[in-house]
Amino acid sequence: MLELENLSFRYSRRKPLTLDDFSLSLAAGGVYGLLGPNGAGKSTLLQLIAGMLTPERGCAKLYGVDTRRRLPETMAQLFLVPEEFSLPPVSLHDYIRLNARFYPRFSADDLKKYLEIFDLDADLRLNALSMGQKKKVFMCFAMSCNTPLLLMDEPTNGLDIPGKSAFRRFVAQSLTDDRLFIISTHQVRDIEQLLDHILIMNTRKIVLDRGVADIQRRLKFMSQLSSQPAEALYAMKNVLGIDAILPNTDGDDTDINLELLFNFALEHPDLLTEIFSEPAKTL
Amino acid sequence: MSAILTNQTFSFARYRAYLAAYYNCNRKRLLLSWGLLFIACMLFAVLPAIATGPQEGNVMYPPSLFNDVEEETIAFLAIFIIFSSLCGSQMYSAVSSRNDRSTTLTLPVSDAEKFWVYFTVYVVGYFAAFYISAWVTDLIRVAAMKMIYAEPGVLNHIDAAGLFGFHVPQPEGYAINQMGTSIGVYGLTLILISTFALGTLLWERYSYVKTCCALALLLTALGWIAYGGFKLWLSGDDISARCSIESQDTRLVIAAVLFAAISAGIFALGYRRMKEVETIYRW
Repeated sequence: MLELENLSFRYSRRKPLTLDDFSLSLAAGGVYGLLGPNGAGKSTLLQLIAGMLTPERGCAKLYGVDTRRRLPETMAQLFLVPEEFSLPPVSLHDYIRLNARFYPRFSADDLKKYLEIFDLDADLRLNALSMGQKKKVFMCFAMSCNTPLLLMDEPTNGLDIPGKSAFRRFVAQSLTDDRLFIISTHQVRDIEQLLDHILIMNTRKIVLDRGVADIQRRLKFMSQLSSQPAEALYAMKNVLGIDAILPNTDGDDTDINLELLFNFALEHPDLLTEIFSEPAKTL
Repeated sequence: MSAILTNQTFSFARYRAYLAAYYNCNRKRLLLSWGLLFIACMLFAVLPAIATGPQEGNVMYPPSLFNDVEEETIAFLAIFIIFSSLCGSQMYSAVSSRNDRSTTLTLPVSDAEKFWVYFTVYVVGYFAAFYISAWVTDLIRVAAMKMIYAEPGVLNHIDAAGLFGFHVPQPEGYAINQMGTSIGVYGLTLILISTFALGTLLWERYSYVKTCCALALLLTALGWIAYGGFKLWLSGDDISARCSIESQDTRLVIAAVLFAAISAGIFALGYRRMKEVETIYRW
């Protein structure tokens, strides 16, 4: 569905590459978590996918069409929810009346359903909302446009605690086999139960690109241990004890500790590559 | 495929839909600026004439200040030019802030349609708003004078057939001069609008001031070059043969083509910059 082919990008000739020879292939029917430290290029990658930026080399193709061309037909198949955005000073009804016509798969029933998840009334003025409420409304609109590709940059920033929990329900209810969601975030705990696939970026490169099931097949996540196991691939101390990643030798699936995996990927990218280059059964 | 997405370069349905969306989302701001334009015309054309009132001992004839057609015309012309620059600086407001850019650029409307919508609002709409403002204030001025003075017959409506497009019968022989003035006014106005529009795409902050400075520098440089060139040109023999564009019509055509070409060139440059605005602003 979405192909990134040898994508390289820099903001100016004087600056280093933000993305270097970046290739990825993403299929529909899943939620991709895009994780990475500040400045790794996550937002840039989303903007490149959305056709907002011109790559130095390579391209992003949605259903085989370069998104940089920003053809209306292509743009009607994707929606970007940026971290910060502004909404016009109109009512939600007017906003929908004026903008929904650009998205042929927009569904007013879906919008109503999503607004209910966030406990929002449809009769509201957009300029009277707080930042968190604006985000909820915009995400509801984005979701109800039913675009095959939905890009969300830090969607849980600015949401209150019930809002974050509602967000998880909202994403879980919206995913269908023909849709692909890419969620970029620092707040891994907000989305870790949602993800089907994890992408971890660091300094211009992807260091992990794996499905959740594959990660669980290869790695075991232990928490609150009193001491570090000898076979631990990576361990991290916290107030409750030691959290560790071990090779999954017994075949039991454990819940992925995204924070731990993220730190492991950044600190030992070569070891991670080695683990995932071996067939899963030999581990 | 939806009818609105059939043509990928320019679809009138999509253009109309975006024009409606853009106008409705920016209605308050646009009405405010057009209202300010009207107030400025009133301040220069009507109020001074009324405020001066019948002079002591002379209730027969209105005072010459601001009743003089030429002075009023110059006042309108100054307003026209000042507002043109302000109008140009607003032309790309939909992509001038980072928050607006993401929603504008990813909307399923082609770049060409976006450009023509902005052109319609900020060039065609502005010209229309100015004509209406100038015409109404001129009518008010004359009506007010007729109420104040016993002999208002000396009053004329503004001599604006050439300048502003609303016709007042003129003596024969004026037509060609008016056309020349008209070409000059329209040409300069279009150049101003396109230049200030380009300025907002080149500089994110203080773009109006920076464009003014750049324009001043450019005009000074061009002035010197033109002065130097003219001196060189005049230094040869047979000057009259060189100044052989006898026909005023030909001169007007050359001037019109020159103005049109310059403003079209600057608009084209702005359009090109608009397409890459996200990258440019990060330089």
